[in-house]
Amino acid sequence: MRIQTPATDTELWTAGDAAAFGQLFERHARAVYNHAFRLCGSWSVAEDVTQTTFATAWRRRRDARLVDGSVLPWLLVVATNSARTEHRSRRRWQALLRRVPPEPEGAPDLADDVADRLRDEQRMRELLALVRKLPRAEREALALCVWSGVAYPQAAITLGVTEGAVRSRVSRARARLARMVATQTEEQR
Amino acid sequence: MNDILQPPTERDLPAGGADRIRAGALAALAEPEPRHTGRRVAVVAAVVTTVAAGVGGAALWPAGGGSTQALAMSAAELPPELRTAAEQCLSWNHDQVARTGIEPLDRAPEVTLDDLAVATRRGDKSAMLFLTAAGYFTCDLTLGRWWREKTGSTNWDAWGDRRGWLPGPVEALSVSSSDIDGGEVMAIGRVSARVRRLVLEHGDGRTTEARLQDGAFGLISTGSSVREDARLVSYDADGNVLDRLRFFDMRLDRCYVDPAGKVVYRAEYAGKQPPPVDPATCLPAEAWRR
Repeated sequence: MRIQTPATDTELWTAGDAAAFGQLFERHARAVYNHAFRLCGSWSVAEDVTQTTFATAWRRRRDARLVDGSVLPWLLVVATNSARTEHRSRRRWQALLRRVPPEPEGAPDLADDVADRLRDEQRMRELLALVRKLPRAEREALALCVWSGVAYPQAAITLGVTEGAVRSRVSRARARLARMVATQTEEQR
Repeated sequence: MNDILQPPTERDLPAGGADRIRAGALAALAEPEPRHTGRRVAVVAAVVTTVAAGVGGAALWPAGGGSTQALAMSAAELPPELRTAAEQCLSWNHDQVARTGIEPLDRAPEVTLDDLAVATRRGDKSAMLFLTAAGYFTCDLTLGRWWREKTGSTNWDAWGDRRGWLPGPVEALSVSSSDIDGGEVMAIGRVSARVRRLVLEHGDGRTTEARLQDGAFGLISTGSSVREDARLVSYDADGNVLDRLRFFDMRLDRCYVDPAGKVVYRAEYAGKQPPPVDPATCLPAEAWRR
């Protein structure tokens, strides 16, 4: 009996053809999409960033750094860079808001999904309002390691800095955010 | 992690969107490998230091690294590169019109080059505003010279009762920036007749003046110093400040009514059901014409 094991990221990346790249897309697109959303706070912009990320990854494939056999940490860094330049008009989000249909009787799935995504965006915008007060290196380390779950050693290799530097950035980010939240809570009393 | 710092739960890509994104990403495989990695960054980052406002004809500034910026206030002012971008936007508009509903308020307004009110370009990024009797259509896009990529986004809305009214003296219809919270920025939109000057205060003491024409404005920041706390400040003919909008958060937090007391703009609200609006609490909308 032959047991077929799925190709590793390294094998797919090395193959360098459309079929292999398509498999990598299927494997990692969801993680990239959600990472992009957490950076920009808009699901529609996250779609654009996801597309740009994979297109850019292909063009820059010679620069790719696979860490422990995974291309995902590097894709997330490419997504982070893409999100910086793909910051789209907020009007798009606002126009979507205006077009959200009133909640229908029986609540069809699509309307629920749109409403849920709008609530996500509202929640993420509130969170980003705090996170954007952090220095860029800290907020990107936070998004990569805390929100997207990349291990410190992998993040360090991908970012080209020491593991200690990544840990330090995340730690400083957490501390600053905790202070901001505390101040905000105090002001609301 | 503190709950307040917990982002929303992860979601799948939307069904139709996943196919589109996949097709767009895989389209890159057909392109030749770039010979100059990093060149795009260099081009986008090139600093252009002069913005000429209110000058007839296309405003086009060659700068170091081959980067240019342009601000045109009609189709007649379009330089060739922006004309190519405008044609791409018209193509996307054509697709959008074909895909949207048949009801007037659901339908993307069909636009032509003659409807172009503002076109801006910095490096390989452009933004456009088309205004018609039915609504507006904005488009921002990247036309990479070296990688031949065409990416961008569009936004549109039917005016409904709002064509002749603005939520205050200034309404930004498209805002884009190089960084998520600043850097180089472009903005386009509408202004009321009493706005005679519109100035972006970068937040670091520097400013950029917008071009105004026929009720529309266009702005490209001078340099890349725009900060998160930047303000878009409008002035009347006597130099009095009319409004100071936060550039990176222009959500409507108030409602606006026309002279008959009809609510024409609601405060923006993300919940399932918008709360009821008491017109007595709204501000008067500003008249707009073109």
